[in-house]
Formats: sequence, C-alpha cells, structure tokens
Amino acid sequence: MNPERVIELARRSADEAEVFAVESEDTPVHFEGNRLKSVQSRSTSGCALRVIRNGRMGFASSTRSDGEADLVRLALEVAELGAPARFHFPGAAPAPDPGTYDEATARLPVAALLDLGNRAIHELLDGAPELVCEARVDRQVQRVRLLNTAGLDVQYARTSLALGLEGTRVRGTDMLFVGGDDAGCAPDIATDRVVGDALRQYHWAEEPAEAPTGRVPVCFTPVGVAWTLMEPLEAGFNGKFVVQGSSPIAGDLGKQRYDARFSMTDDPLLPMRPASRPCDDEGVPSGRLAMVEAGVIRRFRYDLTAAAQAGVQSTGSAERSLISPPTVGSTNVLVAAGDRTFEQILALMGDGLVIEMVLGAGQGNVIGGEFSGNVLLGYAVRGGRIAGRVKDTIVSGNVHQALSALLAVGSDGRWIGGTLWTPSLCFSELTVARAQGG
Amino acid sequence: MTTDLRDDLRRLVRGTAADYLEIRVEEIEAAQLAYRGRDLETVNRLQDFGGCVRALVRGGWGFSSFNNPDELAERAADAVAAAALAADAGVRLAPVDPAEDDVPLRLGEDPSAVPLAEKRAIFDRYAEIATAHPAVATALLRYGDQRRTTTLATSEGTLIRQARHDVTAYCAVTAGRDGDVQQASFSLGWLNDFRAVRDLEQQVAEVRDQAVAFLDAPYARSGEYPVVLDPVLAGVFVHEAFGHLSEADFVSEDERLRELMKLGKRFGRPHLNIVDGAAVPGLRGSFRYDDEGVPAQRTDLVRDGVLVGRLHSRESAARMGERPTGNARAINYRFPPIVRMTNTFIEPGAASLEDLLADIELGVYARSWYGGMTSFEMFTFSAGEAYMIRDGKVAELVRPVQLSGNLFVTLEQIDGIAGDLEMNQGGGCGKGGQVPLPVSNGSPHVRIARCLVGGRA
Repeated sequence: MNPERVIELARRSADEAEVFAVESEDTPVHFEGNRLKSVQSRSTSGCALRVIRNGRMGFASSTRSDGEADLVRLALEVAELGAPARFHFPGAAPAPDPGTYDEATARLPVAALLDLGNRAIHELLDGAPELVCEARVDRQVQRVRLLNTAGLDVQYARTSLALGLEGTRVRGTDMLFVGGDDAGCAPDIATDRVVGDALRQYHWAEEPAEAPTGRVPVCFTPVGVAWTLMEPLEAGFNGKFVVQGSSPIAGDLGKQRYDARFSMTDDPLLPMRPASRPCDDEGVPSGRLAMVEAGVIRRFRYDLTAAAQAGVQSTGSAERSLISPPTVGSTNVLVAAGDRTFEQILALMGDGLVIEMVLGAGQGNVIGGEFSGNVLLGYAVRGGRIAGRVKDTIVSGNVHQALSALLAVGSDGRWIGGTLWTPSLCFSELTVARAQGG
Repeated sequence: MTTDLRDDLRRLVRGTAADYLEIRVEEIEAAQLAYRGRDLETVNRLQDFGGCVRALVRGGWGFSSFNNPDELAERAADAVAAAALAADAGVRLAPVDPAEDDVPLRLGEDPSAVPLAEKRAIFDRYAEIATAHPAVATALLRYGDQRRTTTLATSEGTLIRQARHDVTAYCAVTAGRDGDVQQASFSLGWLNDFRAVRDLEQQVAEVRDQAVAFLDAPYARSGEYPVVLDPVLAGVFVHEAFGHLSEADFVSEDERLRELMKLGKRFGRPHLNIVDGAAVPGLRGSFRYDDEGVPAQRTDLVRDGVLVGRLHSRESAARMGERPTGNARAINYRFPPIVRMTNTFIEPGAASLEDLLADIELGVYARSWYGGMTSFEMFTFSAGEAYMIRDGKVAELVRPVQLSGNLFVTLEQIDGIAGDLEMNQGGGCGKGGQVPLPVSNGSPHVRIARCLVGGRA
C-alpha cells in the first residue's frame, strides 16, 4: 500500500489525516529439544490511518496491498461516530537520530542465525547436560514511515537481533526452567552472558530449600525486576491513568515517594538499542525522560491524547502497532545502579528470598501497583548465602510501597531483553507464604 | 475468495518439491470500540489480508507469511528453501484423510450487520452504568468483533474454506479511595452471534458494585485453605493447571516428560473426568477443521481420575505414535499452527454447592477470574472475587486472591465435584506468542481440599 496515496485520498474529505506505515521482514528460527525445529520468514506491510473530521477522530488499518481507497472510506466512516479529537497532528520538527539500523544485522545470512542458536544451546548443554533446551533467534528489519497533513514526514529503519534461551530439567514431577535473553540493533548478542545467566540459575537451584515466610527481606535479581516489578510500576506513570486519578501516584509529582537510591529514566535516544527511535509513533521528537530522580517522582508519560486531557505536552511516549491506535508506552528503561554487590545484598538480608521469575505476576491489580504470584524460580537465603531453590512459595506486595523501603540497590545493573537496564533491587520486607509440604 | 484463487492454491501445492506443503490464505475484518470512563476512547476498523506457506522438507519445517498475494509463489519458494535449512529435524506427520469442504458460516445475529453506530449506542449506555458511582475512578470497556475466513490447501489434496465470527466484550471498573485502588472485571465472548451483547446492563452494574465493595473488604490472610471454586474459576483452573500439560507438543520433546505424562497414570480421584473438543457447536473453541485440516473431535483427557488422552497436532501425534486430535491451531496467518486447547471442561459430578461447603470450618470461596498462567508443574490463577467460608457457609467478602499450587498435588486434592457445569466463553489463551486465541473452558463447582491462597500475611 502506498502511504502517500492514502494521505492524498484522505486529505480530500478529512480536515486532518495521519498515516503510519510499516514494512517489516522478520526471520525467526526456532530450536526445540536441543535442535533446530523451524526456519520462518514473516513479511508484513500495511498502513494505519487516523483522520479528523468535524472534530472527531477516525481510525482504520489495512494490510491489503491495493486497499488505499477502502482504508480511507473506513476511517471516515469511523470518524462519523468517533471520539472527539482533542489535539491536532504535530507538524514537522527536527528529530534526533539515535542510530537504529545496522547493515550487518540486515544482511546476516540465515546460517548465521542458526549458528547463534546452536552455539547458545551447546554452551548451555556443556555446563548442564541434563537440560533440554529451546532457543529462539529473531532478526527483524523494519521500516517505519509517519506522515500527516500538518507537514510531518519522517521515516527510519531499524534492525534488531534477539536471542532467547531456555533450558528445562524434569526429575519425576519436579521441573526446573532456566534461561536468559539479549537483544540489540547490531549483531553483537552477548551469548556468554545469556548462557551464564541460565547456568547460574541452574546451579543455584540445585538443592531444594525452604524460604522463610511472613514479612521477610526479598531481593529481585535484574531478571526478577523485569518479570515482576516493571509492569505494575510503569502503570503508575502512564499518563492515561494519571489523568483519571487511577494511578496511585497521580498526586505525587515532585514528591519524595520512593527511597532516595531509586532513580528511573526512559531514554529513546540510546544508540543501537531496539527500543530507540528518532520520534514516537505520533511523530513527536524523542527526548530523554527522567521519571524518578533520587526517589522523587519527576515525570509521567503522555501520548498526544493523554497529554491533551491532562493539559500538558506529549512526552513522546506514544507506541502503536499496525493494527492498534497509539497508546502510552515505554522505550529503553534504565533503573540506576546502587553500590552493593549481590553478595553484600545477601549478607544484608541474612534470611530471605531471592526472586528471578514469578508466575502470574501481572494478573493482580496492576494499576494499583500490586504484584502477587507463585515463585517459578527463586532461592532461599540463609545466613547471607544462597541455600537453594524454593517451591510452592508465593510472594505479594505493592511496588509503590515496597520502593519506599529498600534494603539495598545492587551494583549489578545490566540489560534484560534488550530494553530494560536494571540492577537487583532488595526490599526490606514483603509477604511470603508457603504451602505446607506441597 | 474467488474460485480462481482456490485453483491457484491447488496448482501451487501440487507442483511442490517439498515432502508436504500447505498454504493458508486469510481475510480478516474487525471492528473495535474502547471506552475509558464514560468517554469513547477509540473506534477501529481493520482489514487484514494475508497468507502463509508451511513446507516440510526431509523432516524440517519452513514457514513464510506475507501480505501481498502477488508474492505467493515467491513465498512458497522461500518456505521450501527455509525447510531445507531445517532438514533432518526429524519431523513426521501422522496420516489424515484429505478433506475438500466449504463450511458455511452459521450466524445467529450477524455482528457485521449491526451498524457501528448501534454498537456505540449500546456501549455508551454500559459506560454510563459502569461509572455511575462516586467511588468509581475509571472504567475500561472494550467491544470487538472479528470475522476470519480461512482457506487451507495442502499438497495431500485437502482444500477447506471455513469462517468464524468472534465477538468479545470486556469491562473493568476501578474504584478508588485515599490512594487505595481496587478493580473488578468481566470478560465475555460469543461465537457467530451478536445477540447477547445487547443485554449486559446487569453484569456491568455488578462489576461496578463489586469494585466499590472491595474498597471496604479486608485482605484474606495468605496461607493454605480448603477452597471452593465456582464454574468460571474452576474452568480456568482446568485450562491452566491441566490443559496445558496435555498439549503434546511440549511433552513429546522431552523423554522424562513423556514418562511423567504416561497414559494410564492416575492424576485424580475416580470422580475426576476432563474433556477437550472443538466438535461441540457454538462455543468459542469450536470449529469444523483445525488449521491442519484435521476434523474437530472430542478427546477424553482424564477418565475416572486416570490419564487417558492428550491433545495433538499431526506432528506431535506422529512423534508419540498416537492419532491427531484436531488441536493444531494458528491465531492467524502470521503463525504456523501449534497444539492448542479448544473447549476444555471438567465433567459434572453428583454433589451440590452446599455439599461442598458443608464441612469446611475455614476456607475460601473463589469466584470469577482475572487470569492464569502455568509452568506445567506449577500454576497460578487469579480469582476476580472471593469470600471466606466459615462453618460451612459463605461469609464475608475479601479482596481478590490468587491461587497457586503444584498440578500433580492439586488435581489429587479435588475432593468434591458439583453437578452444575457451566462454560466460560470469555477466555483468550496465549502460547508461543499467539494470543488471544479463542477458547472456552468450564466446570461445575469443585472443592480443592488444600490450596495455597495469596492475600496478605
């Protein structure tokens, strides 16, 4: 579909129009049972159209290669009864270029993707022959173009390469899952670290152990922070929830809500990160967003819609897919590192629980900041040392409350999944419960 | 789709150099409404056309998906080339009879025939009801319908066209007071019929009142309790805790899992019977053929407490020397089919709810659902609503709880099954990045003698 043709057609009947066009080539290769299972390629192209007509917003999207006229017709039809348009599409503005395209990644032959997956599996099996491994290597080349009737016309290309590795061990009815992942725009996946993570988990989980229960110190590793804490935490900063008052921190801008050792930034301008971009998905130029500084809440995230409702400027936080309208999202999120090594944190804890993965973490009252779940992978800490893997254990808490009572912040910050950089975060006490002899 | 395109597909799959080739072409039309508070937030229309080619070459899979139909021949060649790279992966397909069929779409009230303006008027009303209380901070309401027409052609001579029209409604109400935020919600779905969407006033009002009531409700104390699950939550339990483990693609890859899931093994007491099947008409997980062209069936998974069957694709069936069960499903043309559940349920027993409650001194009655996840051995699922049980009676409301446990222990712990089977149609299942796949699950009220409940200490 031709985006220029779409905007031309839309301009004739609409007061304003915006086209978001995506073309992508995805090449996922998948390994199961320690060996290559399938090689895939996914080619996607389509356009999403937003129109404003008589003060109302219309939205439609299409992947039909000859669907320009139908797309415009549908969007105008929707605008007849659409939501009131609270803003105008932004005009052209100079957008920074963080660098998101790597020719070498785009040109990687499939054989190189296979090699990456095979290497990761063999290295993991060398260290833990008992595991059955699954791996996924995914290379994506994406071209985004955004143009509107206010004169905006930006386009950029982005490459990404991702490795996900998982090992499973079954002994009787006892199952253990370990794994790691990495992603970037350039072909420099940290296979060593991904394998190292999985092996460390495997060794720490070797012995069974029981976690202390009740209100106890709980430390989330970087993987644990990503799995369990980020969703309820970031929901509080979503401008949509702030403007409605459903975010529990809606009234806390400028206040010292968290421990002074906690800081968090959203940065779409980091070079060669898979969530970096020159502008957001509504064309607002990217900028670094200091959300929490030394425990003080500084900024919430807004897209154009939420910003108009709140009477503030968009923070360039709009995110969308081809088929869904823009909403508030995140880019690269960085949690500031602290000054304690992981071993020092264990010593500070004395007896407690270390968490890597929680099952069902995002199922509770996420907007309220609550998290609760079954510890899928976690370790008991006894006398300041890892004592072994816990099972049949659940943890629950509220992330906004927990962050005001930090025991320690780790110096072990690193990338998880390519878009979150975080150290370990250790809380003074969270609620831990265990099944009796489960 | 035109006859021409079907002829094209037939020609293409016949001329292939692959050991097996299948082409799926899909046309999707969808409409969605979303409300935040009383305000309509977005209205979407979507037209999606695309296809995919899956090729098997010397035991390896290649897959290629596309939007531009002009690229079909080229993408088929891509899939065959990709499969050659993956060759010697040991994939075989269990035999099935090729089918030629054009399955008519049997609609109740056609969702496409209801004008968007009318859908909006209905949900305007619901949004008003959802927010009609001073303690309501916000509400989120969503309506969606999607018609998906699929044509499948395989090199074995299968040529099937079938369509489905999924309708979903979701309502979540958030109530707040002094920084405390509580939420209640429902998620409903229907296949091929719009009618029920018109009569949700009562349910929306109940969700609103529930969210407000949670503000005054205490937390349950975390710990182990006897737990009674309502049919909705028990349905989520059987889906999460058992259903996923009966999907043979995972089991077939691991020798020790195969040992663990050996047919004939006891999983529950003799009153426990679990079934999956898409052949029942009119449920969200129902269809005539799966995405490999295998006819829908009914599969007994647990009979009299003993494992007697599992869910298969053609590939997993061949690997385990069993028969395909018609459970290979793809959420859309961007994905190859994988083993999925359809309509999964615990068969009704003889007890009543009162019987289940009667001898519980202190327990939890958990109703409705929020979500669920499984790691095979461990599972967790969230109730939307919970009450303490005291001295055999349902007592005070508590805040929503999360239930977790170990599958192998918990199925054995089911010590009471009522007779009031109900199917929950609001589920969307996620696996392998393919989410939300329409499924239904159900159960009568069941009692678990001991289950870990997450509330607060």
